Amino acid sequence: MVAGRFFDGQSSRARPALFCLGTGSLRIECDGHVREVAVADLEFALSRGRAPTRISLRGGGLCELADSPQTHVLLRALGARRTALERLESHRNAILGVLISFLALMALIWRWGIPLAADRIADRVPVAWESNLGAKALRQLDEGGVFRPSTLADARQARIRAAFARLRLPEGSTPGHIVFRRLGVPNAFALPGGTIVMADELVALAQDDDSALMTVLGHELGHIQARDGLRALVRATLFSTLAAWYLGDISSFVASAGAGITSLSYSRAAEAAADGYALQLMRANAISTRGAALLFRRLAGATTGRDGDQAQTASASAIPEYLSTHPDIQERIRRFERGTDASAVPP
Amino acid sequence: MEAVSPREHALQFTGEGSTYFRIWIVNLALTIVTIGFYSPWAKVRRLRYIYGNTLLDGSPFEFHGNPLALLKGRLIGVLLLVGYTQAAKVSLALWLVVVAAIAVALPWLLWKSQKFRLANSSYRGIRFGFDGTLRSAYAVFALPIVLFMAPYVCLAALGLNGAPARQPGAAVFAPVALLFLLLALAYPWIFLRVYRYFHARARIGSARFSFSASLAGAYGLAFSALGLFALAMVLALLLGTIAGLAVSWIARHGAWIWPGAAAVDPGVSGRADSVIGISAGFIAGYMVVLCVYPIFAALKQNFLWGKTALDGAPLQSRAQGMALLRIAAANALLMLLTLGLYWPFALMRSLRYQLGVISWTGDPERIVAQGGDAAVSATGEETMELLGLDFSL
Repeated sequence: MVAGRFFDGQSSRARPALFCLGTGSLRIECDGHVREVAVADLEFALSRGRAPTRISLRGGGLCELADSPQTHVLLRALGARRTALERLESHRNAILGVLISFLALMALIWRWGIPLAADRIADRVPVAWESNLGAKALRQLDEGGVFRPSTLADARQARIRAAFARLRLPEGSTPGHIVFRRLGVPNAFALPGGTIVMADELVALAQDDDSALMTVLGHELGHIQARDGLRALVRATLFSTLAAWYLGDISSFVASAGAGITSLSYSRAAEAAADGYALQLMRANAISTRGAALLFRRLAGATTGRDGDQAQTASASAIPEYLSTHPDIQERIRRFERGTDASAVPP
Repeated sequence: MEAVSPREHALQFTGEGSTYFRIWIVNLALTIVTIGFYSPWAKVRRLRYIYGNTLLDGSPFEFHGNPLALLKGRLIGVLLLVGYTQAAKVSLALWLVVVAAIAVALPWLLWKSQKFRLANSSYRGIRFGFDGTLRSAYAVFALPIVLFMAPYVCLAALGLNGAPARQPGAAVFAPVALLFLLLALAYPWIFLRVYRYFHARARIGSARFSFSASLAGAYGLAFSALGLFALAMVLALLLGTIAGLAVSWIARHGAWIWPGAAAVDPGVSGRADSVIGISAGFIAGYMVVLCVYPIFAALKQNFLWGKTALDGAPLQSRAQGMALLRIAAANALLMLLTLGLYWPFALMRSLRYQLGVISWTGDPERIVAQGGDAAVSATGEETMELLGLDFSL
């Protein structure tokens, strides 16, 4: 016999009641009346804490039972069972297991799942979409004042463009298209779709060495062939979607999905591949990559005020963007000094 | 019979972080394993726990929503969202068509959402209900929706069509600025109108809610928000400057305080330390501004619930800004330290406070059911959540 409260479903008046097991039914004694309700007509909401357990009767009526050992006995006799999930959740070790698997799964998705999915999605994006995306990004960066119009002499621009146009690309390559802008830092990057943004500052740092700039452009062409920009964009979108979901705010995903194109960075593997492409391209076009090695040295040196060899010890925040994704800058410089693509040479 | 003086019944929240954590983590795991399809079931489990642990006079509220119904609404919501984001990429005209379609559907969705949420809630076996009609939804929301969308549509039309204006003149942006100003000025009116619609047409059984907040009150709330914000900005500027100066000074001279400072190569930069200083200043300032939110949440909650009555008896809400701020600050810190795993505990903690300060001077014994409370579809409910509009507490 368990004491509790009964509500008739018509009024919120609480009536003290006694509950006990009938024959395949719940016996409710209330206000001097006794009624029996078949187990099939009961619906249980079992308490998981200090709130009372509820038993709803089909056709109206609600019983409230405080948590007690007798209540448990009665509920068990009535065949009230927790759901499988609720039972799982009552085991400390099971929860620990779920927690660990969840964290592992998140790490797995973060580290491998999203990059893999991004690559698969990027492969299916039509080229027209990609160029549209790049054009839009360029317009946003121009209008947003991130980029300023180039102040480079027309003749210099034309010379670089001409040298770039003379490069013979492998069959079936996507051609690049250079735009000059003032970025405030010596930098160059490829937008999705084939546009290469070249900073006035980088041209200035290259002094009159066009071969160095061709190597840089070759590197960017490498990114364009691999569609690295699109990949990174898809990846960033997936990351922010996952983060937004975890933080429980789906609405912010819309805002963040399109943003951040300039802050994208490629993986080291993608950078190394782009370097490899540049090296092969330069060799095919008989252009030395020593100029580029010198340019990178200058880039690294410009930040430390010393020899480039110490670039690695400099504070990371002071390294210009173009190099910041390359912790192995010295290795890169050596690769361009050798002028051969070590990774392409068969062992 | 003697006259019984009205007793105050406070809401009591009995949810526990340790229990809710279990529900939450299992929900998360199942949602990710099913690539999101479990989320309606997760939501029902979450709401059942929260409702079931919100007690009035010892009796919990109950949520009866059907996950399958929620799933349907969620799919519609995803479609709307995708349509909205993708249409802009195709053309301005298509985007405008989608926006117009959403604007037309919105009152219906809001109405459905509220109807679903209330029809699936109960107290002591008596269902809640929502008596607003669809016609009244359109009457109430038409003007607010136009006010909300006008500046954005105007902005999009300027930005998307034709040649980009390099230096857009004031003449171009004046109408947009004016529309935003109008929206800001009308905001308290919209806020009041929307909440009045939702609160004043709700009921438990046949006991009706009413909402007596005045327009002056809504503008008062808006002005206190502005005042709070202004105060926070001044404080932020002050604190941010002090923090910035202190940190940059330490970065420059303070190797003896903070060994890491030595790593900032003096040759690299007369700039690095000032960059660190400015960042520190910004972070400090931003944190001061963040403090406004819980304080405002307390004011808003008190305004909304304090002006609501049920069955002719008023509700009271006595949330204190500083108390909520303390809870929010501790929650934020612990969530940062645990990469968000503290969230279920944080939620239980703030609900315990926010619900616990609400009380009602009515009689929980005399609510009577109303016949014909039928089940309604969940379409509106889920769609609204995806669009980021949730009008419940």
